[in-house]
Amino acid sequence: MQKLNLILSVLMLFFTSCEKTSNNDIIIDEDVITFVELNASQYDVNILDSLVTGKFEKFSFLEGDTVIHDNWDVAFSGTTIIVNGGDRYSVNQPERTGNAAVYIATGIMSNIKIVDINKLEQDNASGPAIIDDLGISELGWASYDMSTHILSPTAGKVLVFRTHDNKYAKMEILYFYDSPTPQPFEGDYGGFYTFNYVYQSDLLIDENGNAMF
Amino acid sequence: MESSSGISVIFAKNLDLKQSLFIFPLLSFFTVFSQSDSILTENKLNEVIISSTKTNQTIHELPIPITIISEKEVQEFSANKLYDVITQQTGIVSVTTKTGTEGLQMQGLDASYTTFLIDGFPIIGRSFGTLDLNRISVADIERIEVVKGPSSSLYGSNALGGVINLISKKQIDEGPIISASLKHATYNSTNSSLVYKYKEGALHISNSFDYYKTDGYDLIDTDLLSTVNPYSNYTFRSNLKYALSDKLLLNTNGHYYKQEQINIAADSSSLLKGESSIKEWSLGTTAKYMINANFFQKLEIYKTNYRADEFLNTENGALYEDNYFDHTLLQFGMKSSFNYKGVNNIIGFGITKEELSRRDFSSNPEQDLKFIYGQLDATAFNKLNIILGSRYDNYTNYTPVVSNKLALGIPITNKIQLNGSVGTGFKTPDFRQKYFDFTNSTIGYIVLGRDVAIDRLNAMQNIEEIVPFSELNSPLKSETSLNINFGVKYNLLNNLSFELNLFNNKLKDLIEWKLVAIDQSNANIYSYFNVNQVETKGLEFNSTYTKANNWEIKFGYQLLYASDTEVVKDIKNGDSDYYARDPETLTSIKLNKEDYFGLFNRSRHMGNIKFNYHFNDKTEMNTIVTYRSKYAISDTNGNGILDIYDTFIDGYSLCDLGISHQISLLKSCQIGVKNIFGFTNPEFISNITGRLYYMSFKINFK
Repeated sequence: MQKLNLILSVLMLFFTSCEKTSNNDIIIDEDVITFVELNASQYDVNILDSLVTGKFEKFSFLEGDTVIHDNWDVAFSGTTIIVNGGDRYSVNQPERTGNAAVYIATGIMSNIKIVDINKLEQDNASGPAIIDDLGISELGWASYDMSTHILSPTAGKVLVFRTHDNKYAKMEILYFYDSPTPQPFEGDYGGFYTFNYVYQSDLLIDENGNAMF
Repeated sequence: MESSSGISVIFAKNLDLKQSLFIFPLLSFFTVFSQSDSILTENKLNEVIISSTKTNQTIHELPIPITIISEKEVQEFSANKLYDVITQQTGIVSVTTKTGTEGLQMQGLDASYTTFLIDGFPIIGRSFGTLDLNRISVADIERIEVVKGPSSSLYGSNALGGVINLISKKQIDEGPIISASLKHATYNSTNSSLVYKYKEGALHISNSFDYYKTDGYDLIDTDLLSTVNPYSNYTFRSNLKYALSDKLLLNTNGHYYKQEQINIAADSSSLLKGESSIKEWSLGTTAKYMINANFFQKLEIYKTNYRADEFLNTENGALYEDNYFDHTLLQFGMKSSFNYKGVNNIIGFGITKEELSRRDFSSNPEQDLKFIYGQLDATAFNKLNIILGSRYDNYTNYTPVVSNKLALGIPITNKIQLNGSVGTGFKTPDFRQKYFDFTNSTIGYIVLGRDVAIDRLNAMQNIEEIVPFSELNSPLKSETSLNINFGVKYNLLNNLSFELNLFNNKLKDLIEWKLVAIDQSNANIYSYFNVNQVETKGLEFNSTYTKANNWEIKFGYQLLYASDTEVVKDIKNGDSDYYARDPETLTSIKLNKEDYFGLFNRSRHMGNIKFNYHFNDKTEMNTIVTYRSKYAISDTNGNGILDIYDTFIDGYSLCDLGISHQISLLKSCQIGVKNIFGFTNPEFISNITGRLYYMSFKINFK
């Protein structure tokens, strides 16, 4: 089953990259959902101060799709990931209207069963909860290869979310480019997020007060 | 004087071997020494080595892994530079390090761990720890000795991985000899050399001049840059020997080297042009006094300087970037060698003074060293060969280091010999790791040497501390190693021999740069730390079969496992944080022990087959195939280690063919092809050119 999905998703990747208008396909494997090529490529990086500016693409775990309304959970622009909670740190960002928060956990996504509530952080006026280092210092969700100039989601990093309305979700970013192969080439467009996620709409709390997947 | 009392202690004791072993480490504190011409002479009596007929026999008896490259082998493929000949040896490969410089790897150890000597004098001028082997001419070289495994007990820091010593040719006949050679090869490369030697009684003069010029080459046509820009260089070496009496021999070595190269680079929009140049000189003098047949003393003084300059101008001629590097070494030493009842002893001391001046350094650092060392070489029970060595290095600003070596050779039968050796080695942090102060404003990062880091960081505003700055307060420690070699030599028949050597090198406190802070403009700040522990282990196998005077075949193979000890431990204990992506699903997987490949730039398998065929007594053919299995130069999946899911550089083979013909007694010529199948890998391997044809002509005058 898993394998079939893989083949499917690779095929999907292929088709979507050929025809950019029909992306955002959803594959459901029990509770793990793969979202293919969320287009957050409308961004610029200022070489001098490494500041990323551009349009944020908002995503709702409940709807399982990109949204334009205010009940979003997470938004992407280039390498930057923000959540709908806390304060914005730049005027061109969407207003934070919810209570979303996030942290980066280490491990295999299926093994991450518990949300450690103490680790959750919201964006604030000085920056996002998920550090955006362009992958250079490898402190965020991605790593940057200086020789090939390719940005890759760091393996073993899982983003654990509280959504805007206090539900929980976990996400593993798989791929950042619009090309169909897992080996991007120089010149492929970046800013296309392909990710797996699990959304937990029923809140379960364990004896320590942590939410459970 | 302390030294003579030290010696008298030994003689007075009338020692047997057991006692001498015991008192030896004490002894090394008394007397006096510095390196002699040959590594071998440190291990065997001078007389045995110099008499050429016994050389081979002697090598076979030596209990340490050593390879001798003969003059014949140097000439088989018309080699000009050390690079050409050394890279054909088993288990030796020239690799490009992550700083972009190229250097030699032996037993899986990095280039910065090998010491290079010419007639016993050290060669300096290392860029990021590596020495450019294309700088070292092999014109007029009689023999190259390669010792694998730590030789710090004789040569101190930097000899942790081994020593390579080039021995210049001695003249035996009276009178003058002039030999001239000219070689031309693909890429419009020309090499010419002229050697003049003269011997008259006690006087021995040798001068050699070697000139090389090439147009360089370009592996990638699509850009405006060349892989290697045109350059030219020349080497002048001079040696004067004079015996003042039967007992006193004076020897002076000098050399001058100059290289000039066109320097072309590109920034984001335009081409930058400039030049780079290297100037290097050395002068060394020894006085050797033979007290009697079994006892000599030697005094040595040596100075060498290496200076590199480069600049780049923009298209309109304004200075874009310039750089310089100026390194000086001064060495003084005394050595005593004496033989008593078959036990050969060497004891000595010396001082060295090093100075470096370069761009991006906060000051011009100096380093002083006092060292004292000795070695004992004995045969016990008429059979067992024992070598025991010890050296004490006392650097200013560092904890003193003691390096030891013990080697045993046990002949089982007259055809089989077992050899074993244990040794320790060390390498002090280099000047860069201590005093570098480099800012790259284009990419935005800063590298700070350990000794300057804390002051610079404290002076910065609004920096984010990644590593606690308190870790930077203590100075860097020396890198240290423990090496074990165990080998068997088996001469099955007169013309068929096998040699197997197992090796293990454990290194700790390796110095690496890592991220310490991020400044307010988001630039990463790096400094140097003692972090890694690595282990390299494997085996080397060599075999030779000779068929009368007709042909000879040689086979060499090295198996290598090189790993970061901490990574292996982490993965084994299951508390690792190493993940990779499944190439199909792209989801993360946790790595296990089998997934870890080891250190970067190490090939698991390396081998060579060499075939020599004599058509007649005037014409011979040589062909060699060298193989290197896959390796990787960087972590491509962001987990910091090399695992099987990373992108590897494919393994490859290179094949060379050369034909030599002796036209007359004094004239010879050669033609050949290097890299017959034209293998290149423009993207990842810049030092392998395409197919290369050459022809050369040599003439001697008497």
